[in-house]
Amino acid sequence: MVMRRDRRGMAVLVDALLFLTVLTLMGAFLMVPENTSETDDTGERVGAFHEVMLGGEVPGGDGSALSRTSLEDHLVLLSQDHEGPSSYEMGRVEQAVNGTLREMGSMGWDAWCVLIIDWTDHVFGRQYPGQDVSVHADRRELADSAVICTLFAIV
Amino acid sequence: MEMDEVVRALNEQGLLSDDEPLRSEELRQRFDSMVLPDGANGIGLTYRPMGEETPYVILGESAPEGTSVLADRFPLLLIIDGRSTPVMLEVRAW
Repeated sequence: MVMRRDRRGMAVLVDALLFLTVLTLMGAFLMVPENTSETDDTGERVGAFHEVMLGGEVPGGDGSALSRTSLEDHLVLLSQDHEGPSSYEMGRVEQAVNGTLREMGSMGWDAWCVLIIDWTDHVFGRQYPGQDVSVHADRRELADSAVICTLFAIV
Repeated sequence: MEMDEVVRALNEQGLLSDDEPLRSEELRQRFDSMVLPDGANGIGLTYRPMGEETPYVILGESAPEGTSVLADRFPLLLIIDGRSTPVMLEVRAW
């Protein structure tokens, strides 16, 4: 009688240990990020595109030295205009951004750029409306956050 | 040969840069004096304006037929006619 009770106790103990082992393995499996290196690499690549886009000179302008600025400096200047950026200036910004978005599109990426100047959003490219995919984003704050430029990509 | 080694060689020899714009008129001279990374038999570079297909500069030749080619592309700034211009560099190495 005592032996039978001990065996049952052992069986319960073994079952519990097995259950804990399976639970631990499942937990470890779920916590390993999927394809980490590719994800990190994509984030870096989006950042590299963003860096180059902001460093490029804004097309157009009147040819004066003042009109020949990088996109980054141009955005800072626009944020200091109390009347807000004109449609002409935003057209120049759009031209500066579109090359990068076209390039990322040609790589099979869905890319768009959101620019916030003095609390007003300007969206370039087709913003992805869904929430069921991983979106890579590179965000830069300029001029004490008067300008926030974020480049998004779905790979 | 890995693409990382090719990228390192291009950075060292001023044909690719993460942080400062390169002068377009210096590319050909730098390419002609380029030392290939270990394991590479040839390299071809195409610089073209960002988002456009027409090349701005093509350096090197195409890979021989039947050769295994490593390829990738990288954004960078190039000074073209005095303007800092976003371009793409397409790299092929074999």
